[in-house]
Amino acid sequence: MNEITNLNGPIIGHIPFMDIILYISPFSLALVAVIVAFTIFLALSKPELRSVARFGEDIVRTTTVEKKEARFRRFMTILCGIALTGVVTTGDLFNFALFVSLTGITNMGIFAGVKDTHVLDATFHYGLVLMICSLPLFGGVAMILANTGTLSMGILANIPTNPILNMSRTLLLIGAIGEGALAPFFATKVEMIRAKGAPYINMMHLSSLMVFTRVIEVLLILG
Amino acid sequence: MIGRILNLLAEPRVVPKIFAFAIAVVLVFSLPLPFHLNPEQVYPKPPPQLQIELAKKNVDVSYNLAPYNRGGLPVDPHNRGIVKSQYKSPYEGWITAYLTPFSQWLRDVSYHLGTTIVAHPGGILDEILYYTRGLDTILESSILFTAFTIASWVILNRTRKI
Repeated sequence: MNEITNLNGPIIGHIPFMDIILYISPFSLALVAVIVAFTIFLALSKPELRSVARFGEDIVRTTTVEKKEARFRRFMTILCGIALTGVVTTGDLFNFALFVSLTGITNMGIFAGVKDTHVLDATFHYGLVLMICSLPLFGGVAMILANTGTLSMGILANIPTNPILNMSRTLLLIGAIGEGALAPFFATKVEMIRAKGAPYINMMHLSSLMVFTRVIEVLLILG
Repeated sequence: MIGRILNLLAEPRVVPKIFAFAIAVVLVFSLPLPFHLNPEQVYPKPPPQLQIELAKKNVDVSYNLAPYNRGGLPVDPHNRGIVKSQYKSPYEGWITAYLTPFSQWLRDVSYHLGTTIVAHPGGILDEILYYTRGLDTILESSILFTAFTIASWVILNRTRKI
């Protein structure tokens, strides 16, 4: 508990939701506030109308987003917001991994609705990354469980580190990097962000930011 | 040279390969580490081979639920199944012995379908998971359903017929 309070400030309260022990601290409260505000903002906003100019032609086209497509992507955005709220508040390591992978898959869903070949291509390859990195993510959590016998972050905070735990932390970090589309995947992301329908795409940036913040906190708690 | 490498990295189709290679390297380096299991596991279960051997010696016939046999009587607070969990629920271990007729039949037929019995719908996996791991099962299936939603939307709204 010590390290959690060191990192987060005093824990305001627990929400006993079966094993998904959500804990609220000033830190997570701030993150949740950002996520909720951003999700509401995106859910209420309309998709952009983008003008596309072509080389060699004297034409500027205005692209529109179909209503059906916009609705699907809005749904995925809201789902991503819910998953992110879980990511930043959960106090159970396995649930953390589950929420992170839910974030990844909803991120993919936001882009899967786009009818653009290059975007879908990039999304497909990002989906491959998502599948690959579920191995280190859940593998790291499983190694932590096997080595310490617990998944509760409150208890794990008091367990001193050892080589296996460090290894599991590395795997967890690699998994979260893939699922949250952190640093090495900006290349893939840039291709995906060329999709039309701007406001929903921003959810991916928010999820990257939040997963990054939270995974650093989890790694510090484990160490 | 550096520019060429960076351009190569910017291709989306190269990214998964490099990522998989990096994971493989990390996993290879993890092999020589000393790995010890913690004996005080939160979610323990006896070794399945032990249970099957005991069952063959007619020590306890109910062992063909190996390795998930937890004992107890259904919905009886005085005869609970043995369930150890980190997050306590007052109804822990109440229905560890309950099996649907089909599961019961499977159990009577074979010694080797323990996991299947527990995992098939109407088995006892729900009890074990809900009261030891809580809402994990729901969360896991929500990921699955999200994936189904995306896949079905893509298939229903595809622009080009396959």
